[in-house]
Amino acid sequence: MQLEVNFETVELSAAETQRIQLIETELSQTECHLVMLVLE
Amino acid sequence: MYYTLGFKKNIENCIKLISSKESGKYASLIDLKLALGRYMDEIQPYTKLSVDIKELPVLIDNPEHKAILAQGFSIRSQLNDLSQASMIESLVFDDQEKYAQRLYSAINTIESQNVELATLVKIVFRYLLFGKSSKAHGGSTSNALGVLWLNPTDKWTPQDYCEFLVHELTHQLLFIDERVYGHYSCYPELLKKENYAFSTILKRSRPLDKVIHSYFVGKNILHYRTENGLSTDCKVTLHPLTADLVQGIQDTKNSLKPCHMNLMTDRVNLELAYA
Repeated sequence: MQLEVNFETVELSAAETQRIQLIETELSQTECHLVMLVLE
Repeated sequence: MYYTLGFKKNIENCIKLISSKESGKYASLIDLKLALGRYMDEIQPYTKLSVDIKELPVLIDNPEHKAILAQGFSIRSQLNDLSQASMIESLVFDDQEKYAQRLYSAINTIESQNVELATLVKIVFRYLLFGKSSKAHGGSTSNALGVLWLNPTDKWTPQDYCEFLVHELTHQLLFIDERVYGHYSCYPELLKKENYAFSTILKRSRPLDKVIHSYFVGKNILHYRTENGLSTDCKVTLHPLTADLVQGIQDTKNSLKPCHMNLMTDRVNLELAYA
């Protein structure tokens, strides 16, 4: 069984675009998250 | 995060990130996956590979390609509290095709249980990277979106494979949600031990980002078990038994103090409140 997928990109508001770009910049300059399923 | 946000909001997050880079219409799952892949390649060019993308995550067996993807897992971060940067010890992995088939079987199982969940697994995961480790069963990194690192053994049960997928999908969808909304108000503060909290699965004091990830992983594993009627815990070896998981979730919530709430954005505080 397959789910039908039919999506378009959305017109982001100026504020949303700016927020996403700011987050992208911030994350590129900060420490990354590395998450693992640790052996116990 | 599928069980936290639902299918539509998780897809909306993917679309928003894609829309920040390109416009277009995606008439199939693979179209959307390719567009998300282009986004990932743009923000993480160091994990870009010339490999045909398929609906199922592609097993990467070329040693050079494996080394490229593994780089994303070896970047040092001060948020690494468990020597995460050296987790993958060897990229030589015997029988990786056999284990990849078991993972594909698990995706088929999930598809028969919940087609939305399986669709998210297929859209988000591009590559399977098998690598040996004496410390972890596998994992994800925000440095290599779409890459699923696995270190399975013959002890893994079919249920373990399904839960591993739910676990890692939760991490990946959280990374994506973080890129849309922002999750932490001050990243340097996450490094301070006084801001650590109690993690749900490992049950120890850890940096807040790991704790938030473990909390949502715990909630999503629990929901997956509940939805699929797991009546006995004898089939699970990777994650805690259900009663321990419930306790871990409660312990994490109890460990979160106002200082933690202040370090998280409204987005995470609301998700925590309603999860």
